[in-house]
Amino acid sequence: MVSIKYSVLKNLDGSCEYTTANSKVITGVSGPLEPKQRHRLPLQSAIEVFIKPSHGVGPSTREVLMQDKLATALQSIIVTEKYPRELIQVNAQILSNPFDSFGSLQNDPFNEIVSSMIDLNSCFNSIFLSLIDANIALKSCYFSNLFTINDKNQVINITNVESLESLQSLSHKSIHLLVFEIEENKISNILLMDSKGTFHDDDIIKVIDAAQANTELEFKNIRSLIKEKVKDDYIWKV
Amino acid sequence: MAKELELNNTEKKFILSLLAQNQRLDGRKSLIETRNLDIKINPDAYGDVYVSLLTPEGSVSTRVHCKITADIVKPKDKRPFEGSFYVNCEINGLTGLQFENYSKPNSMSSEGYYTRFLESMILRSNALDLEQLCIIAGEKVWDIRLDLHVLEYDGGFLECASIACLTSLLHFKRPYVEVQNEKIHKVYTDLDERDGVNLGVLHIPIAVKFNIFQQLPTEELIKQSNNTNPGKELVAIDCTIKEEMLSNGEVLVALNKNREIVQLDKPGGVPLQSYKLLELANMALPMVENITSKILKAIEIDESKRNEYAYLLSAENDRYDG
Repeated sequence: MVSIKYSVLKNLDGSCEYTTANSKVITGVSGPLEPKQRHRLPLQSAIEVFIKPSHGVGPSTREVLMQDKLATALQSIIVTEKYPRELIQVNAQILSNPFDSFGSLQNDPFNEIVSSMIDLNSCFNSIFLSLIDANIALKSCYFSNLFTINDKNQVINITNVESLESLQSLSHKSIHLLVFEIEENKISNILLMDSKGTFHDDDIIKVIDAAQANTELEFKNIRSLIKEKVKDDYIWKV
Repeated sequence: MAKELELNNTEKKFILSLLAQNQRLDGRKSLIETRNLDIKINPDAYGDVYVSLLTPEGSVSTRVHCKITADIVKPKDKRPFEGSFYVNCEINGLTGLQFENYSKPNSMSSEGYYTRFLESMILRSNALDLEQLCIIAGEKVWDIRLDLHVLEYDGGFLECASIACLTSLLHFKRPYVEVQNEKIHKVYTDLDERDGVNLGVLHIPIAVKFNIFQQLPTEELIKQSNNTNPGKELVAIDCTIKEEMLSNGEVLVALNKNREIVQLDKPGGVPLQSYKLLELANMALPMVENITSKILKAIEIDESKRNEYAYLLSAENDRYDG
């Protein structure tokens, strides 16, 4: 379902094209770079995240919110102490979002939230691979999940929902973005949790369980992909 | 933060001497040879196109993603019968480190300049029929927005972008709108329910950029300006970014395959003999014809993929010629 291509942009240090059933993003990481004077931090690296929307002039408030969430989460993933007074630039371009077509945002106020959550989720996962491609030192791995709870109390993984019609007819009660930190191939922490809508404590537990299972499953693929990539990159070492 | 590209003197000399020998750094054998063109149309959407220029070895050098979105807006008071069209392009750090984030495109930045060139090429030559975008005069018209995302940049942006623009304009389908009693009754956003309407593309202008390389130093040129010595400058099509950096001037020409010049621009740089302009336009013609047929071919292939069973459903009779 998910298709990942890394090292797609040869002008940047690291890049990744991440395609899920309903969205497509391309991300690039450059760094460590020399930042402008005002971005320079004495003991750690500055992280700049820049997201361009799939259409329209950007980044608008919708993207800036995503940028802030990403920057905060990346702050605790990247070994910032390793690159003092330097900048790590993370760029993302949303190539397709299911709610791009005319009139698709209407009817349900949740659509707008889902639209930006889908982008954020794809950006998170794509940036992780771009960071690895750019050889930036990371403290741990992470994986992002996007789940919804509908009016029948079912937990649905949005990344697998294919068509716009089925996305629109999900009748959400709440939406949850969960980013798990993964250490030693085991889920260790919740790095970021972003929930919208009305929900109870049990709903959160349910979503965390589902997301945990999904992360374990999906991260296996990503891990083998990284393993293959490292093998290909260092071919001369045998 | 933005890191300017720099060329060292040896590289500069090498590229220029290659050009003087009718050779290019990326292996092309002529100054008027273009890179290979690759047009990919996203099968899941309308007006979603990837255009890339490939080097002779087959690696991507310039890649542009073009996406069209439509919206219903109120028209301008002065033009109540016309829809609107806008090209948006911002090059940022994703394309390369020489581009800065958060810098607004303006007429000084190359992408701002080229984007306005493209927009006026399409609008002022009536390549896009704006009146067809009118739903209710003075009340509701379609606003067509074209977003250009430059994913990789190695020169040839103008050509790449104009191809992407025209391909997606030709490919895009806006929803059908049903009007009753001067009011919008229904917009068929689901294109499976009712087929979308193609935009009215009346002709296909393609922009071509010529880069001029002056072979004599400027002082010599000024001395010689009285006894004009033609043929001293080199003109190259589809330059890479390194060649563009060394170029002393450029000429932008937009043409269509009806052999009409749609737009012409020479923004400064070294002076050029006036007869050269016509020569350049003639040089671009076969290229434009070639590109136009490639665009139409790509759209035709996509159409046949989407309409796999059209021949089964068609009521058309077989016709035989004699």
